[in-house]
Amino acid sequence: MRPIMLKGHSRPLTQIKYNREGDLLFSVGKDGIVGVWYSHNGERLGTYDGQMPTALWTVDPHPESNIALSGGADNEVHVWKVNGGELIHRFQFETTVKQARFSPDGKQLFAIIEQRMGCIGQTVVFDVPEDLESFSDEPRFLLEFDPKERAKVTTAGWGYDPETGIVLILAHDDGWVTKVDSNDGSIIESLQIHDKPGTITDIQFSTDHTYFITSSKDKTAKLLDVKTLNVLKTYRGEAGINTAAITPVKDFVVLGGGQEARDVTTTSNRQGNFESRFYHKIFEDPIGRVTGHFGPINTLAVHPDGTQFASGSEDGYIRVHNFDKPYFDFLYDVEREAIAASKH
Amino acid sequence: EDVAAQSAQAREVMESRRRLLSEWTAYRANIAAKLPKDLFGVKESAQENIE
Repeated sequence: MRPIMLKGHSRPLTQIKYNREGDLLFSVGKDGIVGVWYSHNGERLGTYDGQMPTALWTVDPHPESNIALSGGADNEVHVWKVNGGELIHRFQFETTVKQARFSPDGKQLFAIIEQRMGCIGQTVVFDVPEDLESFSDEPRFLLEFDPKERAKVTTAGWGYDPETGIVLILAHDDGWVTKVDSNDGSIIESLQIHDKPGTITDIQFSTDHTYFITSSKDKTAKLLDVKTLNVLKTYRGEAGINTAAITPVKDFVVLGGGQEARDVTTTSNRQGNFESRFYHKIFEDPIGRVTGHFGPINTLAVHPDGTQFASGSEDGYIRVHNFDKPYFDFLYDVEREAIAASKH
Repeated sequence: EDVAAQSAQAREVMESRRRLLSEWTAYRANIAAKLPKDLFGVKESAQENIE
């Protein structure tokens, strides 16, 4: 797999996301720039420059791909027009925005606001207006967790429970996850998933949002069912895992991470585990790795059609890999048997 | 004896994988049966990818 190298950020990447069609890749980094790239050739469509050169932590295109949001250390969520880059709304908060995402139906967005001295961390949910322009600063609901009872929320995502519809899944700094009603913010269930301290670093969903993968500093990634929060599978890595994604088409998951940034200068690339590691989703076996970064991988995204994946690293580069034929041909014997049986 | 032991172990692994695959297939089929056709307006091709 020969990668396409995307060079446009001067500092570490913090998040990358494909739009629903997969033709665009959005990126943010500690340089405060939002990058938009054509995924098929790595050409840059443009950048959205913020008002202040502060680190950005999160980016997300709306499912319709006509607006996108970004959030970061300027304590704001910015909503941009994808075409032209016009800033159409700014949500302002007390502290850093660590994560923000549109719901899969495009009707809501959440922002995770960092816990700081004197400020309790918040999860704030807003309705997205039908015209995608006239946003209101009045949240649908706001959640705060008492730090004495539950560790701060580190990341979150939108799940789909076949019986109740869209729910919010919050991931905490102590390895717990919380399922929240997306209409009124009521807590449905909380469970410990990763061993303490077990900071959950990323959460990404299947195409239908009915199951998801969490990555953790406890060197594991776990696959969970949205409805029950049951752990379906566990993948064990060799270093802290910063990010994990589920691949459509093939039954794989991919994990990224590596040695902490502060230890990078004392660590060779090989020892640092700066690689994307593929596991069989169902059998939990490691099946392959893709090297190339010279710093920890902070963020991974898989094309919605399952044809490529991209990794963003502390080294400031995005590497886009198109999957080749052996990737699609790879099957365990039992999978071949099952396919053959289904044809008879 | 080594060959026999290895062969028994390989059979065990195959059986375990068959069971895991069958459980996963049943889990996904159960969910798919409950999903609306136009979930989030996902493209038809992407819907196929769900399975």
